[in-house]
Amino acid sequence: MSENAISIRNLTGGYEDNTIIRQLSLKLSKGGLTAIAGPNGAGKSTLLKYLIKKLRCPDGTALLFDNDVNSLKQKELAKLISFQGQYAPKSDEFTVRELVELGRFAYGDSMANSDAVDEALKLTGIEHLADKYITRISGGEFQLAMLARTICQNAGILALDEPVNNLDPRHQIMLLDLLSRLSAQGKTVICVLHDLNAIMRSCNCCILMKDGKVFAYGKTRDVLTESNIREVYGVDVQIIEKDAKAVILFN
Amino acid sequence: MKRKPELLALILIILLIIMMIAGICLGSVRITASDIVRAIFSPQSIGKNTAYIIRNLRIPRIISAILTGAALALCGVVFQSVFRNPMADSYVLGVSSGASFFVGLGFVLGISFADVSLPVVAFAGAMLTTVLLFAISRKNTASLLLSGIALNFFLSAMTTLTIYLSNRQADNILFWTLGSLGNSSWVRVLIMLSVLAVATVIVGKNCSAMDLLLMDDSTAISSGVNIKATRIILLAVASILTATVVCFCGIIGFVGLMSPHFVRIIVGPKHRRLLPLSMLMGSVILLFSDIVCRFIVAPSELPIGIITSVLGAPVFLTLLRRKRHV
Repeated sequence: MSENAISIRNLTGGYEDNTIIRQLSLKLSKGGLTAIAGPNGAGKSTLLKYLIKKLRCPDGTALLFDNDVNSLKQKELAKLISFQGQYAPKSDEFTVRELVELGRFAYGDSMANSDAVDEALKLTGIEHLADKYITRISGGEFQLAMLARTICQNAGILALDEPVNNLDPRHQIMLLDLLSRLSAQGKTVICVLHDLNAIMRSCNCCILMKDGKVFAYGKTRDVLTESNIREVYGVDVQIIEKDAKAVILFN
Repeated sequence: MKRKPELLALILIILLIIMMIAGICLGSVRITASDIVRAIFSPQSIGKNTAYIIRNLRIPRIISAILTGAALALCGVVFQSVFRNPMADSYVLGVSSGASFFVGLGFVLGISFADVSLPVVAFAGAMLTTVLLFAISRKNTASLLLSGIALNFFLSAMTTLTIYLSNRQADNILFWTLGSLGNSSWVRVLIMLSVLAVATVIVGKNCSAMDLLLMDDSTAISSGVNIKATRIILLAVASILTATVVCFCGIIGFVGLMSPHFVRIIVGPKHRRLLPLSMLMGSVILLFSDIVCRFIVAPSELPIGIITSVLGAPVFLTLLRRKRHV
């Protein structure tokens, strides 16, 4: 098995009459916490949709651990990559535990493995919410519950679309630290993030996207430079180094 | 509120047993509980007529009510999950009307119905309506539901037209649109039982997938659900079951909509609990309605569809007002 968790070759695609991704190629090695950044409409979420087969790409275009996504059954794919989207509904009165259990679907209908569920609840620090209804918890707590669901799917790759959106700074840091710990344990974590400073702080690598292409990819410090940010986002920034940390200031 | 699935199951089973006994005893001919036992174990010891009424009229009828109620509830659970909308059921979506319109059309065209061809026609109507529903609105589930409602209005009007056009068969067609368990027989019970058993197994295997269908598509897909195939299988099963119910009992509204709602409030949205308990609830509701419709204007009887709707609508409205998330 090669070292690549994700490998995309020359992908072009999008929605019916709207091409979002243009000739994108990308290789992501195993492990590590990689951020996907870029302006709205750059194709970040669309890219993830190809990985989970929400959108279909031509055969051989997208490989996960050397397996063509098109050759995998949906359940097999779910064991390789788990996904957390931006728009999960919280209208049904699942309890937090019931929601997290949904992550076990690919492993059989019984969902008997409560160990995996317990552990995911523990990792995300929401054990105390296990029996609460998802309709009665805060947006941030719901986000954590969704993450627990994603974790308990126990896939090699975790793909997350803006997982810190509703979180306060403390939970944001907690969640990113958790993702970073998971990546240290060998998981390949890839997540769409908008907060460039959060990326700077937590992610080893960063994919900067623009107009459906990878504009820059590499170590975060090499990718998030003043000139790259200016060119991709069209905003003027200044990067300040302090105590081996870098902070991006928007002018 | 803490969830008490076991308690609900117990209450429903007790209610079901009480109503089964009541269902056999009540009617134009009074029957005692001991008659029932004797009719089953030693039919010679009671009058021939009484034994016949119990064995070939009342018992098939209550079993019919139990199976039909469970079937309607199962369809309700499936439609509500697939359309991700608690207002969906085979009645609201026009699948029932599709079946009854075809039956009406058959009567108007003068096709004579043996017991065999009627289910086929009703089935064709239900399936065609489902296919049409998908063809009209492939984009999203919300438009699917609205299309279904529009389709229901159209097909109901067309059914009324068939009643208007066919002078002699008008009563027959009207029967389909109002629903009745009056024609129950052991043959029908057996057919219903086999269709329901197969449907229950298939849908039962998809309980976890239906849980995930309640989430957004991306979540369901990435968790391992083949949503397209799952939806098609579930809808096909529900349509077949709807067709079976409609061709035997006509259109019986509200049971499919109401039963899952009741149960969901008490045990939550997990289908592994929701499905069996909703079916049990459907049986209880239909059995009760059948007793009411036989009792209210005895020795004559009202169409059961009227009872379920008259009882169902106010109960349902109360539920809607009490619950915020519907």
